Amino acid sequence: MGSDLILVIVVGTALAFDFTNGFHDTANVVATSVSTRALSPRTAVAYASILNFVGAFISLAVAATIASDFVDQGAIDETVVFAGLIGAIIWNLLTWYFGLPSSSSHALIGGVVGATLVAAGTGAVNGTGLVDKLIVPALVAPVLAFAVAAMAIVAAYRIVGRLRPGPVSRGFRLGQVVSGGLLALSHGTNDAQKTMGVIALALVAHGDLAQGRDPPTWVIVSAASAISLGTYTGGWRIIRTMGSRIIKMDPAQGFAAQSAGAAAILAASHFGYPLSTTHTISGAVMGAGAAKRLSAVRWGVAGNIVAAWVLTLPASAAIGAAVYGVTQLFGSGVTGPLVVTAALLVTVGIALARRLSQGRAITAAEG
Amino acid sequence: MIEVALAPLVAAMLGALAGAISGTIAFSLVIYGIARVGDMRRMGRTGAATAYGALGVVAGLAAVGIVALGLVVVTSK
Repeated sequence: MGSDLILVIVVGTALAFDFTNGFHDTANVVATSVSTRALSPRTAVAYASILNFVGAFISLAVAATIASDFVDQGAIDETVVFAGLIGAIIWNLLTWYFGLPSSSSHALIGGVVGATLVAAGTGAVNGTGLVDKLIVPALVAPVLAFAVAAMAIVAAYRIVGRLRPGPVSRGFRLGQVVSGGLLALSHGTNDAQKTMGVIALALVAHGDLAQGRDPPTWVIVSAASAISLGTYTGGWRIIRTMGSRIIKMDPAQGFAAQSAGAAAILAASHFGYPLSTTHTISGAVMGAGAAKRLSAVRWGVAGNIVAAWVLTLPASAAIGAAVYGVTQLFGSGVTGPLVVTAALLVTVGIALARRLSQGRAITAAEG
Repeated sequence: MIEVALAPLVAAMLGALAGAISGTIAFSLVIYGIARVGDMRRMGRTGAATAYGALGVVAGLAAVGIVALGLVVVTSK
């Protein structure tokens, strides 16, 4: 009974994480289309939400990597998965609060690895899998997206450079409907599968799924729904992160950036690499900008991304390990996860309430 | 000693490179072809307009084919 309750908590936490992932990443996925006026914000968000949902169904290779390539499935239990998820959520909340562009994907894997290290020792962590499937692709993907976007925009400018700008901009805006759709599809594919992989890990630990098997359909549908709903809900926020903070873009650059980002994420998904979609899209946006004019790129933002990248894995691993330690203070049953969940909900509630009340006070004073 | 499996990584990199660049070139040629059709018509050069129109159509089919091929590859196990 207690074990079932832990599983329910883990699945709920994983889906909440998936929702926040979509919520957090809406801006990254739709900003390029919105900033070049290829799509209105409302349309872009709805479109991205639908394609996030569809994308979650097109591959399961990343879910398999998450479920089997980083930690020994036989050596962990549901509490380890829970602690990893909470570690990732806490790190995401901290980086969100301080405005750092963190990777939810790296936080998730870091959290699970950290909790596994404490619970089952170094023998339960697959170092080769981490380097092979996570760290090397994490280094390569943003650089690849940067280079591909740069080459693509140079090729595009060579072809259309002497044409009148009006028809060219209109054409690429139209093209962005497709390239933006592919980017949303790729985001749904790679990111929703991470949640599927974590739920699969918990199901294996609980004895409901054989090792090496694909996640059941209800896991796929629920992960797809959570990320899609998160993306749609996240649309109310001001969409300026990737599209205007890093670089001002024209429609051709937007098209090249989206195509490069989508191609990199889809190719990685096919081979089971769980990428940071945020970092990959950022790399593509910077590549499309740098090819036109190096000074157009706000390199400070790029520096923040690198710093967050370096910090995320060890920090989320440390938090995941600490959370596991806290759960064990209450024994090996369901009490620890329940206490941690309640504490996290209360903390987040207080933080949000304080933030909202501060926002109202500022508005009133200004008014 | 940790060994990185380079073959799938290189395949993913080449796939991304080929997909994005060929897609962008094909779509740029669609825009080029369509824009030049208008220009040629205004200049009364019907033959050239037809040729540019054909370029636009072929490039458009190529762009659709590239996207379709990419999706088929990704969805296949």
